[in-house]
Amino acid sequence: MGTITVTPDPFNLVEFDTATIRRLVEEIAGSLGLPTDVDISLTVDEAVPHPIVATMADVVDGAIDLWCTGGCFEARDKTRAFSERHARAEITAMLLRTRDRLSGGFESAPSDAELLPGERTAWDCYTMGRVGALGHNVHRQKRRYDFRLQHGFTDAADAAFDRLWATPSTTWGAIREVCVETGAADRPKPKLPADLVRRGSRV
Amino acid sequence: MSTARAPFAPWDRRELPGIFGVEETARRIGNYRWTEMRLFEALGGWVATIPELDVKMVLGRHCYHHAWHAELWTKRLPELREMNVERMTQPANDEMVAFVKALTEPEAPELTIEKLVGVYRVLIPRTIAAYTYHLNGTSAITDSPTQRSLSHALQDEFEGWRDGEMLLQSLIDAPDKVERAIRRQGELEALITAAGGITGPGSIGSQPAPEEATV
Amino acid sequence: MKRHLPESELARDERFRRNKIEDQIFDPRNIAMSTRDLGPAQMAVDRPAISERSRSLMHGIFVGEIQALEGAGRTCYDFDDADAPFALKLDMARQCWDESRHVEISCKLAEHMGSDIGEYGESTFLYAAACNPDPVMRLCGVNRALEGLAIDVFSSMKAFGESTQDPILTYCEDWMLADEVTHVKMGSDWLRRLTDTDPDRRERALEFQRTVDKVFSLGGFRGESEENPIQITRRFRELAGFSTEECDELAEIAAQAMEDARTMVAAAAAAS
Repeated sequence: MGTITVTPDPFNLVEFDTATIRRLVEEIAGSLGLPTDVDISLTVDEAVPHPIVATMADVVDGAIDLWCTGGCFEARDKTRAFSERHARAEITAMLLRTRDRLSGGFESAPSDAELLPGERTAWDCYTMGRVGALGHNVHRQKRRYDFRLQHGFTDAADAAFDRLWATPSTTWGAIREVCVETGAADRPKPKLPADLVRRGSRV
Repeated sequence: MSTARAPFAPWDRRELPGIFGVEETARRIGNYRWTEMRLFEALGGWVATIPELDVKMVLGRHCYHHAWHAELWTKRLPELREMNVERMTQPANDEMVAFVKALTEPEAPELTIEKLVGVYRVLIPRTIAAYTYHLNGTSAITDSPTQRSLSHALQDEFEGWRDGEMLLQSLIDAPDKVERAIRRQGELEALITAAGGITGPGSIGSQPAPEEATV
Repeated sequence: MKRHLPESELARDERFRRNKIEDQIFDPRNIAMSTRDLGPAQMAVDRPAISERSRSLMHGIFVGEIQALEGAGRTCYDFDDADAPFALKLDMARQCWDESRHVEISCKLAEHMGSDIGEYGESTFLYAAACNPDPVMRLCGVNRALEGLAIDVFSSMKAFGESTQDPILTYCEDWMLADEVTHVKMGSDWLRRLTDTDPDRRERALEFQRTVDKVFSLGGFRGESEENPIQITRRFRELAGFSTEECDELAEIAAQAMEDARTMVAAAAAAS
């Protein structure tokens, strides 16, 4: 059986409980049909508050490596408090993407640190559509705005968003085609690395 | 053959005199100014005490409308030989003061219905009535500036009345709220009736005494 | 209805949650965050978590507009003519109308950006500045300091909208920016008129304004470098009646705030 590790243990800067988060990871991994013999580690950078929300979901040497800012699990209306609703949605999204990497058509996708912003938001759009289909109350317009920032405020971008949101299955190649279609692939390479926030983490 | 035209086109039926002289016009306008000022101050003060977001925004807009009406009257008074605007800016009588005090009394956040009923089911209908009487009765020749200001103000008053009434209809959604609205309206109607309206007795004219039967 | 409604009695529906200022000041993550490199703070599409940051900022603007509406409304009611002449109250009533529109615009922007009313906590320090019992202090704290900040914020958000080619954000921020220039000018004009023969009162009011300015420059929130998320907008401030010297003073306050923040960072790093 694979192990599930959540770091830090315990949390010192926020009112999160490591055991609760570990239970959520185990429950959601099981419900998504992830292989039970794969190790999963989740690092929560508790120093980084909302609204700085960032996640990384990779497969490294056969193990699932998840990272997120504490802000991802933080209650929006109470500083430092844990929001199970947000945690479930974010953990589900991270595990869906690792499932994509393992056997979901994204085996050739680069690591999260190497993704371009347009590629990452397109993949997130596909992911959050599935999170919504699983019963989470996902704010579609929020994700549309996120997508538009990287793909443009255009009819072409909105049409691409709607397709990605609704599709139950796609591939890394199709994501790249969307970026070409919307023009995101033509944007200048960002000056900041995609994993800038994680690089500063001391966890 | 002369091509001179009559000073009034055939369709221009305006006549002299109106029913108000200069002094009476100034008195009424002073009352209007006082009333509009108390109203805009109350609406502005209430915004922070009202939790309903849409009501907050409507009151913010209406606050300015009534302040602007007060400004229209501020500009008109000196044109009626009243250089001391503050001297003429008076309530019609003590009963009108008592009415405004009662109107502005509710403060608690759960009293939105009471606040709105006072304005939109009592004061604004009375203001519309007084303005309409004045508009219809004053001379369109000698007092057209007052008529113009009354027309502009009335447009706001009618639209404000509708906005407030719709808010009330959306808030009064249960029998107990109906009771509250009726009770509040009754309390305030009694007070403004005692005042005789926003310019006191004669705010909307008076019925003539019955004529003696003739043979 | 009494005069002078305290901050604690601001009426809200159940969606709104009040942030406690002490929770923000004493957040144990502040020191850890002060040593992190998150790139330039200026709003840009490649900044980490830019979507959520812009939504959070817009919600902060939204609740600020509600409080500005409430503060202007209270100024209409809280004073006799002797303390606040009709012409001042007329300007405040006009500001009520403008702020009502800004609340409406902010609600539409929230729909556009995908956030919900009350999704983020509300801090009430804008209304707190509007609670001052002296109308001149209110005008300086709200109309000059906080509406001046609004000029900087809206200008920064408009620039962000232009850089991301977001037509809705750009349009909305530009219209709100126009109104805020008017509000600041109202504050500048009334400060001059009401303190024409009372230089002490003017100086006290300007000191209150500087205090508010400093609070909103803390941590380098505002300044003239790309390290500041909100840029001081000199051009629009000058249209609103701020002198070059006042803009320079604000830039100095901001630079000092940034320096204070750096000193704290260095001290924290040395301690850890």
